[in-house]
Amino acid sequence: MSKVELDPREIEIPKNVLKARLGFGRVREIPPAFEKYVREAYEELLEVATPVVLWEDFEAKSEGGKISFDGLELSGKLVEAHLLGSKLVTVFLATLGEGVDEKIEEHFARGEDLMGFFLDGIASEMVEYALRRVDATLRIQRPHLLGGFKVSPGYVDLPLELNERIVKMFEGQVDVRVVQGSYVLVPRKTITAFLGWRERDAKEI
Amino acid sequence: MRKRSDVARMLEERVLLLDGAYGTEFMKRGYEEVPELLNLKAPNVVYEVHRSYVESGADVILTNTFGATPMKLKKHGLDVDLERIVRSAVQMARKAADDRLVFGDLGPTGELPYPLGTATFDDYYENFKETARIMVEEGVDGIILETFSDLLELKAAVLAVRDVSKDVFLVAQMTFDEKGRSLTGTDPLTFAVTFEDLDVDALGINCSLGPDEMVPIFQELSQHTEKFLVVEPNAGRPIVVDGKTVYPLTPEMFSVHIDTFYESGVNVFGGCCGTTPEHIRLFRKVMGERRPLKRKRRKLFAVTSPSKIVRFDHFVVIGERINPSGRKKLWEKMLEKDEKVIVEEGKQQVERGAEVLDVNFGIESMVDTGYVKRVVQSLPYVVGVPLSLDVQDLRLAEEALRVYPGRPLFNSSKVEEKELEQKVGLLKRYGGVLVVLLMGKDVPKTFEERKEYLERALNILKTLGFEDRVIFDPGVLPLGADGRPLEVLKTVRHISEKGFLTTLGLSNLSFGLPNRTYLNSAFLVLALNEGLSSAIANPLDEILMNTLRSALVLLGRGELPRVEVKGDEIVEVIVSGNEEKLKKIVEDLLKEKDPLSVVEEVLRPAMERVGKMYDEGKIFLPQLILAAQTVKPIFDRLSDLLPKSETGEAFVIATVKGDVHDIGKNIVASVIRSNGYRVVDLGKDVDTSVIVETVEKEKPIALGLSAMMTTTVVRIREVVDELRRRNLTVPVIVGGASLNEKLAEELGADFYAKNASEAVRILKELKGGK
Ligand code: B12
Repeated sequence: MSKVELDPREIEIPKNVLKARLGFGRVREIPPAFEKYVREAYEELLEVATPVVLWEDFEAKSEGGKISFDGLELSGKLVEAHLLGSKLVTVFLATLGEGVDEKIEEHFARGEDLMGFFLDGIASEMVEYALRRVDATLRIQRPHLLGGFKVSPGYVDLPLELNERIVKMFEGQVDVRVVQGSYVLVPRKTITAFLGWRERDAKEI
Repeated sequence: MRKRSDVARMLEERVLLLDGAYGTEFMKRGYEEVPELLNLKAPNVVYEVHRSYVESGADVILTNTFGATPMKLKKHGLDVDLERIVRSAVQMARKAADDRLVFGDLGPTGELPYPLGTATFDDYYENFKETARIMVEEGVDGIILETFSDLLELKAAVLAVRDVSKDVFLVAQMTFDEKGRSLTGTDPLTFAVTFEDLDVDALGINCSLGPDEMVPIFQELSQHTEKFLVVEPNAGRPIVVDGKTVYPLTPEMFSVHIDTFYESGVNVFGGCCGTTPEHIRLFRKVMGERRPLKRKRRKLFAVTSPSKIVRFDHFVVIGERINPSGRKKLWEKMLEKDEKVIVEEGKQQVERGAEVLDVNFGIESMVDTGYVKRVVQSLPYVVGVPLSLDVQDLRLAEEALRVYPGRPLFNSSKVEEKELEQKVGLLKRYGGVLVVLLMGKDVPKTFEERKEYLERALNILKTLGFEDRVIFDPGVLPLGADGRPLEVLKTVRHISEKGFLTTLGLSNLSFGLPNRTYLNSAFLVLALNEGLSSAIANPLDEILMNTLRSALVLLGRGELPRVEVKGDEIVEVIVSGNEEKLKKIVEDLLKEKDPLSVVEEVLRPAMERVGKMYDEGKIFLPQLILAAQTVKPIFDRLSDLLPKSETGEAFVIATVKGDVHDIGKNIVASVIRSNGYRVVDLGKDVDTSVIVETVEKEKPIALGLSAMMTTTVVRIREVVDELRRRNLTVPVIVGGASLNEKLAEELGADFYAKNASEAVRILKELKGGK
């Protein structure tokens, strides 16, 4: 198991990703009247976010359309397309911590919906990019392996229930819980993912 | 050379990696001259750089021939060496590549098209054909046309390569600035729509921008094409350090963006200016072994010019005035090869609302072909809008379609197998949309005859695979020649009902008659009512255009573009988030109206208009949120002004699960409360189980449910079913923007209320009935 704590200032969110996330996808520039809110929200987020990324590798075996590792057995469309056949699977969990949820709630409670919405959107991207950063570093550190596409519970046919397992895996390392029944992660700005690794062909090294 | 289909198969399996920049690599090794010259002077260096990219993990190597075309080499006096340069370049790349792919690289000439510059379509075409021929002879696995900043030049290059070989894999790429426009004004959507028609395998974007800035442009492209996608961003925007140009993005900073491109459907990823073998090495690692993601193309019907795309999602006026029939002066000017007069005619029409210009050259055998080509090439650049090429002679039509910069309308083909086949053939080759005239050898008079022609046309088009690129014209005949307008109208309706677009040559109707304007206008209105989607008409006719505008509004078919809308003060105040000003407006209103009337007569209609603006893409989500945030305290204040008494029977109210709209629900709750009921407000986004349990506990006189979206109204049925399952007979009253009487009934509700007052009336009735 490994753990990195990131400085939120180091997590680069591409400008345009952010723009689209905040609802300005169809305009070229965020209108000046809104830019100041965005900046303010970003500043607030930097104050309260404590990004942590955890991951662990598992040897995996594929058989009959299923991949198994750590006592888990996964199958389905998404697994078939991106995990099946991997010899190693990395399980990720990334979170920004409780402080972010509180801050977002505060805004909504005060009727500042726009600030709440912006903070929420920026935070969603921040946790995504925190994970991507670690993901990219791993790929660089593992020249002999080829990493596939990261897949997350809740997408296509990968069951959301898996969140429970993942949270258990990292128990004690970080303060993340799963809501009974809905499998929503708390703090809300928490994401999980699986990444499959294949052996690189000899000629590709 | 690998077969086109083999390369395509590789791309279906895996996202491939291109190499990076060459110029900077040569410079690092001390070579400052024209890069193409190195193919002769220092082929070993070229080989070395190729090797460094192969060793970094690139799957595709580009030949060192970006500027190796006659026009470009001539600038350095090197055109005589073209053949040797290109052959050596391909050989070096091949030698370095092992079993990787080798793509012949071709960049633009640097010459602007006439009339912005002097280059004609043919200049471009010959230029690229020459190099492409040598590349194909040397056995490249593909050809990549990169960094093009003009649509016409790229089209000429594509056609040239295809004339050399039908079996070479072909990539066409443009370069865009940070505003998403190419040098001559093309945006990625126009690029996609125009090149989707042409016989290229992949579209792409490279140069000018870093990966971050390129994302939205790339995504726009990826949504509108089914072709493979290539992207090569620069390593950021160049900055100058110590007098040297430096590209700032390190391999690590660059590769953060790979996922985003991958998720947007990229098939080949690489780097342009400032990228190095280190970049490619890292890309290799980060990209790993990924199968490309599947994309779906958003279908849209449109024609294009270099700087404008005209979609047929609204009524389109095609200006008819560039047509010398009955206009002696214009005809004389055409014979004199006068281009200015055409530009003037075009501009005037566009200013009055034409979005496409029909261009007809009269007696075609008498006009100069060179003149026709110059007009067709230059008019879209000068006037901006796409053309409808109204050319009869097949040979002249081919010339015009070939040199047209964009995706034109081609007007027209009759329903005869041979003619249709030939004209569709031309459009498949050169791009464009066909107007099909519902007549054959003879001209139909009745609806039945036209209907038959339509069936025949559809049959032929289906075998040609072209049904989605046509507009049908039922054919209008002069009233004076037994024109029978009602038969035409019936045909318009029939075609529209079948889901196809229509157009009419409007002025034909009144040919030779007095009061033409009125006849044309009246006929246009009637045809609009039957679903007509465009007309070839005279935009300078003010009565006609104003009638058209009014009719579109009456029919609820939206406005013509360019029509100014009058200011809507209260909406502006709300959307700009000016709470102070809104407060002031509401205070003034309260002097004349009671609080509930202010809600129902002013604020709610204003919010409906805000919703409509959002729906039409005129405002964005943050503006919608700001608008809501601005009106909410005002609504709350107005609610507070209502009298309070909460002693009577209980009323339970909630906004259903998945829906966070609560402004309307809050108003309803306040009004009902002020009418003496004890309101239990469960809030928004409420679980069905919570609602049902509360009903069980509170035994209210009625349950109120608010649902604002088409996606959440179905929750009403869920609540009703659950109530009935538990034998709870409480009456259910529903309300919200996406509901109506009928839908409410279908969903199992007992009552639908348009607003709070209606809800109160219903409650009173319920009580009376008890
Ligand atoms: C304000 C607003 C928002 C605000 C809501 C803030 C809030 N706290 O309520 C925000 C910004 C959060 C929002 C978000 C979204 N919205 Co919105 N929103 C609106 C808007 C512009 C105005 C609604 C409003 O407050 N009107 C003023 C009040 C007073 O009127 P009212 O709600 O209609 O209520 C009256 C009656 O309907 C009736 N009534 C209502 N409920 C009930 C219940 C009972 C029991 C009774 C008797 C009567 C009754 O009485 C009320 C008083 O007269 C509407 C446009 C519209 N035409 O309504 C869109 C609209 C509802 N939103 C829409 C959409 C698409 C969204 C989003 C999906 C946008 C996005 N991309 O994220 C999200 C969805 C979030 C979610 N999961 O619910 C669409 C829904 C389209 C559809 N057919 O599904 C609409 C119609 C806009 C549009 N034309 O596109 N939205």
